[in-house]
Amino acid sequence: MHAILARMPRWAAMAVLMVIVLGPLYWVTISSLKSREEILRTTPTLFPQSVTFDSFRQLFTATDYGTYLTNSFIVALLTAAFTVLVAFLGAYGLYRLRVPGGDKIAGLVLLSYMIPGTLLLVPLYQVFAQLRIVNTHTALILVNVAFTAPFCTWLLRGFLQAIPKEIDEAAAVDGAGPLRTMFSVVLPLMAPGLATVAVYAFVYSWTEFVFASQLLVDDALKTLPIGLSAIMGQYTVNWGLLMAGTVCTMIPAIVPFLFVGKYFVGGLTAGAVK
Amino acid sequence: MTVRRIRRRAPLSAALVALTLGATACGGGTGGVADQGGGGDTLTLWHMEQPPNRVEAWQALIDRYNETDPEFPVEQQVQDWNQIYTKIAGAVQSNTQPDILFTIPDFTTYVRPLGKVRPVTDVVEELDGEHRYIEAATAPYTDEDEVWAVPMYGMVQMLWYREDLLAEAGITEAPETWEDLLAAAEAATGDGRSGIALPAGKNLATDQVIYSFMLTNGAGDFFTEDGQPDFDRPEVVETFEFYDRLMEFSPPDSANYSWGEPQAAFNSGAAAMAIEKGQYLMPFEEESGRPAEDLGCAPIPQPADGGQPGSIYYSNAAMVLSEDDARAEAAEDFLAWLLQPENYGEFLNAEPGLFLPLTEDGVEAESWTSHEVITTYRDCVDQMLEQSRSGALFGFVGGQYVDEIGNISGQNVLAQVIQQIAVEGRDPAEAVAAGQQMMLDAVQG
Amino acid sequence: MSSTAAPGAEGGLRTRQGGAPHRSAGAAVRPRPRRSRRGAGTLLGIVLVAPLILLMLLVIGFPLVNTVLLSFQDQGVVGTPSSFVGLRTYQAILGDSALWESLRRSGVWLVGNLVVQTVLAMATALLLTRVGRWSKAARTWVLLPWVIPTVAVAVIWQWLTNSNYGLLAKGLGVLGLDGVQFFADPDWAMPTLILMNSWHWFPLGTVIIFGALQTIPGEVYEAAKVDGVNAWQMFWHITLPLLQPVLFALGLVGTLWSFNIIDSIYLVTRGGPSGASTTAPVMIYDTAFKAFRASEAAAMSVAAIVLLGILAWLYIRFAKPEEV
Repeated sequence: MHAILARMPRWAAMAVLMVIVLGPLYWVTISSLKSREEILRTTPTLFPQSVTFDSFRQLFTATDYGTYLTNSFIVALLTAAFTVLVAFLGAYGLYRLRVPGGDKIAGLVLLSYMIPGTLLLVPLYQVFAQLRIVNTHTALILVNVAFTAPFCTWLLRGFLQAIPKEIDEAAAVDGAGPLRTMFSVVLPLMAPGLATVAVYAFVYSWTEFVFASQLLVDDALKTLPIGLSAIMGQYTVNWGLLMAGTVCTMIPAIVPFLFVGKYFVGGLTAGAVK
Repeated sequence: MTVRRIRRRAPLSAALVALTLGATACGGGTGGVADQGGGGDTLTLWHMEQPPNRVEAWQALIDRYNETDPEFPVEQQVQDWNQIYTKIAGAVQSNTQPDILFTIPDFTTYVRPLGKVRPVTDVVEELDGEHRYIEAATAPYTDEDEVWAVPMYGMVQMLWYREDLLAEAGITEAPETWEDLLAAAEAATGDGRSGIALPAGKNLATDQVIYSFMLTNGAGDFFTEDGQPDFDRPEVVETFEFYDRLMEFSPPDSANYSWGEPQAAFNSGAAAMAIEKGQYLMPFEEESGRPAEDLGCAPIPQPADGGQPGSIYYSNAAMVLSEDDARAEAAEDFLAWLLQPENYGEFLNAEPGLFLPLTEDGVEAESWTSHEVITTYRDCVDQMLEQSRSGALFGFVGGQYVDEIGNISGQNVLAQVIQQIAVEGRDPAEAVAAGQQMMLDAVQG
Repeated sequence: MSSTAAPGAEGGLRTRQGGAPHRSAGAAVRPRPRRSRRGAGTLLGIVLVAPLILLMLLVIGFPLVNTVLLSFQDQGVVGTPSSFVGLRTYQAILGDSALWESLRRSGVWLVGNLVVQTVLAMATALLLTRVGRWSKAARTWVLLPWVIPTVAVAVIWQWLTNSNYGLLAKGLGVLGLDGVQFFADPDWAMPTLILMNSWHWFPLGTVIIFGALQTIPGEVYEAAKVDGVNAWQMFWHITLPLLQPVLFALGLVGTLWSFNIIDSIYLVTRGGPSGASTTAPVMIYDTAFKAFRASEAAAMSVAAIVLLGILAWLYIRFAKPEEV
């Protein structure tokens, strides 16, 4: 009895957390299953009176949802891959090989967060136009990696330092060159860190809106956030469709998380604290 | 290894640029440059009508056009109003602008100085001879003796009301005057319902509704002869005072409303009236669960004393920005094809009721009138066409052409003024004077 | 300004390692003999760091230089021809009270986000460290708000707070609190936006703090328990001091991060109602792309960057925790 009472505050806290985090998501999800009339009712129904998939049907037939989804995945996966690569190489150079001026370079990380991104839009557009890569996924991936890599490089520092230098020396004694040491000795040991970085970059890219909407022109290249904002058009909004679009933007991002979320939590932990 | 690829891309692209430039130089410097990476024989069309139903309907039409085997097939690329200003600036500077860009009058004043807009005077005259444009169609695009865009469709605001809800409140006649409107809004308010849903967020939706009321109070033209703002006038202050009073009967969170919220409130029965354009027709039955007869419409109410009919009205048009003459001609051909009566209706009915015909034979075109939404709400559609005659748009009243209007509408000055009054409780006269100052600053740049 | 702050910041971040070997911390500062046998390693290092540097130069460096140059000109519509006017643009914007007002709002935004997110993240992290199935499951789903695109977050929150059909608005109405108009009330718009943005971002902070909590050895708590210390005291006197390095870094990065957030605000209120949520980045955006005064916007950006640099420097100088 006493034990149950003692746990009460903890249960209450957990309940509050669930309401805060999952409440809004529940509300959007059930809204997407309502009819166009029920969704706007002034006395909201906590559960749809009649479940309908009309909004979803419309989403899949009238919009290029499939294209947007594919594009989002392509951009997010490539962003993740390149971020991992750039950040790993950068971190290895900065923190393991200690290039001269490394500390100053590491400080650039901070600088990159001080800049209001919106003003970079037009000069960037011009740079990319010069390179003939406006309206390509390449441009978007470049931007995404440029914004994620600095933070990720710093994140990997903790992981690198957790790997004893003696391992390098042992590898050198065994006749491994510096590149071999890096790729076949250190890299595998950094797996949790790299996974963390990959997830972080994936999510960054998945949620990115400002640059994607600016750099992509062709409908066939657009990502999910742009597709979603297009539903809220000028002059009128189809709320059911918007809710269905919101749900379908959330779910694909959630699914991989159900599998790798645990490792991400562990990874970020290690990186941040070591 | 992949890193190398990323780094190699820059020089690679640079080499590509050099190659392309070289190729064009040899080819006499024409063609090729304007297209977006490959496929140089398609015309790109940018428009900002994002809702999926509109995109889908226009795609069907474009597909049909492309089946006629034109020299340059057309491809639509949908853009967002919020990004188009930066995008088109970047595109023009890098020579990747579309061949056709849909526009509204004040956006045209922004794009023209970028330097790629071609005059389309000849084709517009030709089309006028063939289909007879109404006057309001071309006027806002006429400047320096040239027409700068091909008018495509019109839009006008109306007073929409729920017959069922007003009847409940004992009102059987549509409000005709400002006083009627206030009385009706007051009578219909109560029991968790608002008399009217008005937008008052910092956005274009708010600007437009306020402007409709300004027109009915004779304050539609707030520029001097030489294009200077002349906003601080009694008629303007009166209009804002009236809008503020009306806001008492609008939902309490109106100050964050844009296009979607008033319509949702109206259809759900949370509000009995709203002022907007013809997009209210199509979803009404489905979203309200009420029969079509319950959707009432009327001209924008006007002051009983000295009022005049009026409503915001503007023609949407298409600019041609092609790099070379052959493409420009093809773009004009496509636009002319859209205006053919047998195609025009299908084009307009991408959002039936919102997009109104601008040509005399378009009004009668079967392809337009036969649509279910148009036949169901024929009476309201006719009223909209009638209202169009008294319509106007700020900066373009009576043949005016204010070059800097884009700076004023871009900042949503009208919406900012009503927010100061309704949200901060500022005196209307003071707020309007502040609005005049904002406009002056905007025009002087 | 920022260049002087940066190496210091690096020093600050380093303290986060806490118990990391001092050897490595010292190595960065200690001058190394030139031309050692590690010369080849240095070359390799430069090659390895190059992609990162090049990318940042291309995407951040060049546009930044462009912005600074632009701030000395008189450009109107972004990208149109302009001429050099020296410091005139700066004189104009620095004398404009609207800029200072927007910077003040940015301050509110920044502190609000910092406090709400830290408290929320801390409380959640403490909850997640408990053993049990529920806590374990929560470690995954608590991340959800973070993986949702901001566009969707804005939709969800506007949907919840609408006075006609929003669940939150209706729920408060049942409690008799229907006076709150969230995004439409100038007094509530900013707090509501801060809550919305915090909801979106707190999971990241939660995970980082959760990680830090995991590294605190259990014996510390055991010993305290023996001494009869209660849970609250334990939090104040043991947990919090040990978390200080992490909280410091989170505060620094998080602050810079949230200062420049514009999409959350713009997608919902566009800086309204009546300017109540016009933070500096919103103002910069409006100036450049709505009022078409690109140079003024550039000058504002430079001013904001300088200010942030000073803030970061002060923060590192005075809030940096003692070496533990």
